[in-house]
Amino acid sequence: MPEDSEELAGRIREIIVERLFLEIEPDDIGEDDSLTDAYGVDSVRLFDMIVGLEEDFGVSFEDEELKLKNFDTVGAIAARVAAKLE
Amino acid sequence: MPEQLRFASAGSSLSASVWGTGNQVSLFFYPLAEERKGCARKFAETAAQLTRRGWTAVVFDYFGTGDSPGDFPALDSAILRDNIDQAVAFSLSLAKTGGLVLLGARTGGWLALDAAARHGEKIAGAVLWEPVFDGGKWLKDLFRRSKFRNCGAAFNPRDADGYLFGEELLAAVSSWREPEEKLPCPVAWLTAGRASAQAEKTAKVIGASLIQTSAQPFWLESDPRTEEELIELTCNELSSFFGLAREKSG
Repeated sequence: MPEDSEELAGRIREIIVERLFLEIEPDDIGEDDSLTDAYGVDSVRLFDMIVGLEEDFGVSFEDEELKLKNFDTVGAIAARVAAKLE
Repeated sequence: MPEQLRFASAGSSLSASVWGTGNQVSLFFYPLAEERKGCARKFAETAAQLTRRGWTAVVFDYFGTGDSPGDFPALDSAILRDNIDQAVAFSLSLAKTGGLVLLGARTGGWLALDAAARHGEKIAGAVLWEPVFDGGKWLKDLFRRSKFRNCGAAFNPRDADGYLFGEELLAAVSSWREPEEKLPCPVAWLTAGRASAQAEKTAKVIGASLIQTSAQPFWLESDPRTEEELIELTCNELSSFFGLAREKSG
């Protein structure tokens, strides 16, 4: 389990690269980079990444949370995951 | 190009693309619902490569899917099972030597293993592409994905991007679980990317060889890229199963 917000964001970047098969280093993703705009990720693949987050962190997102704006940037994802881990 | 044939099942007829005229036959199992679309090209490419190796490949459509007539909401587990049994019988009628080998993608992997369990010695082996065993989780994610994709717009909880599941089929797929015993035939389980911890655990239980590939989740894409490694490995594994069948019968 990540101990601090930096560690959490780092793990999220790794999951993003792994689940979206991005050919970049995890640290190349800026906190506010839009995954859909910057990397051309579509909603289907983005959802696959969300499932990856759930499996990796052992959390479950409610249907109401499944909105693009909640999962389009590292910052937004980290906030969502951190709230689940509290 | 494949020959388009039909065979009878559950009071209807199913469409089958038959590639090649070789003595040894492989039967392909599509995934259910929208994931079928992302596998169509991969199946065609794999069938074409098997044909070049001198084999026959049969790719069929379940009731109410692809080119097979029927309404998908009317598909239930009894019809699906008969579709599969008739597809096995049809494929065996084309086979002149050896047993039948199976290729199943995603939920098609579960269906292929169910067929292998029911048809015993007729099945020489199976290759699975990222098989789905936990039907309940697959359905849950399928509908959540559909909802996410449509930005939460008016949503029918049985409708996954145009595939309206009948109640009986929903219940049947929901009951699928990770297998708990060794499978009756050799199985190669090909992963897209790194294998999950659950995949490693299940592969060990069922005695499948787990093979990691660099393939991306093509079942999620409508126009996926070519996955040469996946197809090459699949054809090699199917070849080895045919070899085992020949040794057994010889």
